[in-house]
Amino acid sequence: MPRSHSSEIDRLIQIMARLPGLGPRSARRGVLQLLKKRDSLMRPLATALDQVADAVKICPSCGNIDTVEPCYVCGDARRDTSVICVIEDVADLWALDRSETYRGLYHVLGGTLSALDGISPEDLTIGPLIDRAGQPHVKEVILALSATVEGQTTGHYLAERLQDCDVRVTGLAHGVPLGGELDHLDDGTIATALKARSEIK
Amino acid sequence: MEWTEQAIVLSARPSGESAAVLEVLTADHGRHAGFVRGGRGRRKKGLLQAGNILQVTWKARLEENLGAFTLELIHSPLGAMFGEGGRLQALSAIMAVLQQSLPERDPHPALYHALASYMEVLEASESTALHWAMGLAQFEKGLLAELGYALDLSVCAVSGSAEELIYVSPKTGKAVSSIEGKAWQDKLLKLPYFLSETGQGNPDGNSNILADAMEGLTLTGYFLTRQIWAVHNKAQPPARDRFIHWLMTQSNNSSFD
Repeated sequence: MPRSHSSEIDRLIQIMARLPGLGPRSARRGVLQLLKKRDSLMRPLATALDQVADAVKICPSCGNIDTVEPCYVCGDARRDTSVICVIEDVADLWALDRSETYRGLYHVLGGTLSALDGISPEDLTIGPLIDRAGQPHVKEVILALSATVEGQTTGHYLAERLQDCDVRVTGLAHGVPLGGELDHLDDGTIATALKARSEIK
Repeated sequence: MEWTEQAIVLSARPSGESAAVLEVLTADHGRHAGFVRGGRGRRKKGLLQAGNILQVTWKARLEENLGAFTLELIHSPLGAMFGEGGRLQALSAIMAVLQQSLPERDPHPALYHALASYMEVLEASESTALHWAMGLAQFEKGLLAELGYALDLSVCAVSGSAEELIYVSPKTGKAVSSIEGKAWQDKLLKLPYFLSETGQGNPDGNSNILADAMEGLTLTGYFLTRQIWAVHNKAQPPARDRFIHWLMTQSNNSSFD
């Protein structure tokens, strides 16, 4: 196959193509853009990547990924330390924090119980969660897990394990999404929405 | 190659960025996997939840290919189960048992109908943990029979009598009567009334129904482990283990009825 660029550029394209959302074609376009904007884009990107790669850490308290320890969330004195929100993954933490409706602490579980993938309670950060929930200032643990069979099964398992801690264990509501129309919803969602109906004030 | 059939979702695992490999149980094609384009996307992810009943069409160039599914939701029982840990644990347990025991593309219509019935029990609001536990033990007994390891619980293996069958031989899987098994009771497995083919020993109100349910799961778990799981170097599925643990916790909390 005829080559139009060096093996270094080819390698860069191959690495870029491994990123989510990018295939070989879009990776080539991205690399080409970087090459065209070498000083304004490529060098700053390389420096930023280098700095983050050197400094990145997993927060020993909540499991968040950050360049400081403890992470930005755990180190923020304005946060409400009496509430811990349990999420599956760092992506969920970023999504929840982006909404700016929750100002408590987080705990990254590292996945959900799954027989198929062989994920057992020992593979998740359940022990550290129980230790954190046992601290006297913690009053509530919110289980913000996916509305899937695995997510909900894990939620109930966690609720059982947290029984001995003196905390209120809550879960996210399930139901009609914002902008959702009833005739487009599946009957499972409609059933959970009906079960979780509330009084209109 | 193409077929269309009603199917119950057993599991789905991610494949690439946006697709999934779906595994379903059908009456005529058994446990069957297939590729679902966009299976991890917002529109289809909800359909691929374990327990959902779908109309699936499987297409492949060759019979031995993985093939691709197109699907339509017929019914989702999950709305009734979300928020209830026991139902979800029982659902996870039966799906894990099926996946670990049943060979692919081996049709077992009886198992499909038994699973559909079990799903109805799990969905019914009036059903209790006892129904889920006994239902799982009965399903596993049927699974053993379908796979060629049927327990012979009709007559006593020693005397040939059909009276007071309360034990099962761990070696042969045959029933043993109370008289013949008395001397060996420590080595025999207990046969609960609801698994007995004669239906003897039905509780009169004084019997410990929970103990019967647990004995049923111990009995079927023993033979599934010995005949199927251990042969493939596998232990009891963790989801089944967690369900049994949950049942024991409920009984300790005295909320089991």
